[in-house]
Amino acid sequence: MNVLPSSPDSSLGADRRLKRESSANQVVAHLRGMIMSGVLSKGERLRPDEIADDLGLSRIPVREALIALDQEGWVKFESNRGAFVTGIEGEAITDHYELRGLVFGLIGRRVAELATDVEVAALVVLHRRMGKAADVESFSTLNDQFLGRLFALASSPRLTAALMVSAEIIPERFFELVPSGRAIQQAGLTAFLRALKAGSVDDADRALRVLQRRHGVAVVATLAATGLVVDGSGVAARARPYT
Amino acid sequence: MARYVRRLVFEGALTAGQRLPQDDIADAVGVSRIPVREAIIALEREGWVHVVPHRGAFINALDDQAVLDRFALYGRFYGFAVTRALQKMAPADLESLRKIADQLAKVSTAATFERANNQYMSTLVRLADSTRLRAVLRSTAQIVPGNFFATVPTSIEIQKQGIAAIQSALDAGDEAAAASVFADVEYRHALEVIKMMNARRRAHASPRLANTASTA
Repeated sequence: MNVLPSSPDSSLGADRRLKRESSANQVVAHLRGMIMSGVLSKGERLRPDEIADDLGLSRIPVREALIALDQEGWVKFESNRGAFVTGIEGEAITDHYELRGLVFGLIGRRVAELATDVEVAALVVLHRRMGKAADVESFSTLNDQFLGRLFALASSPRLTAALMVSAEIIPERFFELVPSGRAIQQAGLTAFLRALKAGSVDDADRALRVLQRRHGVAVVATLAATGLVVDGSGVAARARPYT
Repeated sequence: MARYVRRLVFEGALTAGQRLPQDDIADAVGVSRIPVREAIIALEREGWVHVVPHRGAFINALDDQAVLDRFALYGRFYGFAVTRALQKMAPADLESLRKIADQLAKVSTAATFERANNQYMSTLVRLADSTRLRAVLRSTAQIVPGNFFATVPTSIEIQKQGIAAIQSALDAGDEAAAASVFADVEYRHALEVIKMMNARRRAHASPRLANTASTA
């Protein structure tokens, strides 16, 4: 679960508009995609002037983008030398998805508490359509709708906002870039819907936490396959999934 | 400016659905247009306002549920912190935490308690050693303006008991127990904040009654 839902009802709509206005964020997305798909390899140097020329932008948003990518963990930015691609720590990925799971769990609890039978039935129908989606792109669109409904049902701008503050590790084209993502999502939402039908707040919570954890494992595997996952220190190997 | 707006919403001076009077607030705080735009972006990210294009920013309700949600988030994030800290800490680290906790137990005034509590919590976060956790905590702003324990003094005792329980769980190496202490403590804080907020709003709405209104 990754891409921001396009529901006009949610505050996310405004957030997307704000994001689209920023060229720095567009550069971040562009470069992140290139790193993720291996077009830019580990160790490769990113020079602000060259990137600015390639993209037809000024240096300022490019520089901001490199700083943001440094904060996300993809590159190391050096003030007068641009940046180089570093690879991302496995533990950062795991922690990221655990933390997102914790927020989704709270959202799941709210939905389980507030959704009517009719609203749950509508979610089930949408989920069935997701299962029949012909390709990854239509699955992704339907998934956005599903998430949009969850956020609307939870009616908590703060919980929704909490998901938006941490940049996604693979925001765009998630289901394209993580092959098992679709199956994980579909199965995870099946468990979640089962909990909703049973009226179990705890199970709804757990279903969404487990779902995020599974996505985390899949993302680590995908990034590791292109050599992008690095170990921070010996400490990374000891960390166990947060239950 | 964001801090000013959060305070106004907490006090009840800005109410749910109200349009944020950007120019008035900018003047009051003494900032120009650009910081105002940045403040609104931050406020929307945190869930305080929602932006309607061409019409402005509107205040989201800071109702009981919003408070419960925010503290539930803290409970989960700190629960995560203590779990990671327990996985990674060395005996010397446990000893440092114990020393800080012992100091904390002896302190009672809001100012000194806040300092000691910050020391304890930031040590836990440091021991968790997680860049993502730090990023998430940085972007989760407080509901309660200023010194939390000065505003909600009943929370001092709650936090003391909580930290004592955390220490027991840490000594026992029990991750699950440590995490669930935070969930419980933050929930109890939320209830105190709700009481406080409602009392302040009653006082704000009817200043004449402020002296006679009992605290919830």
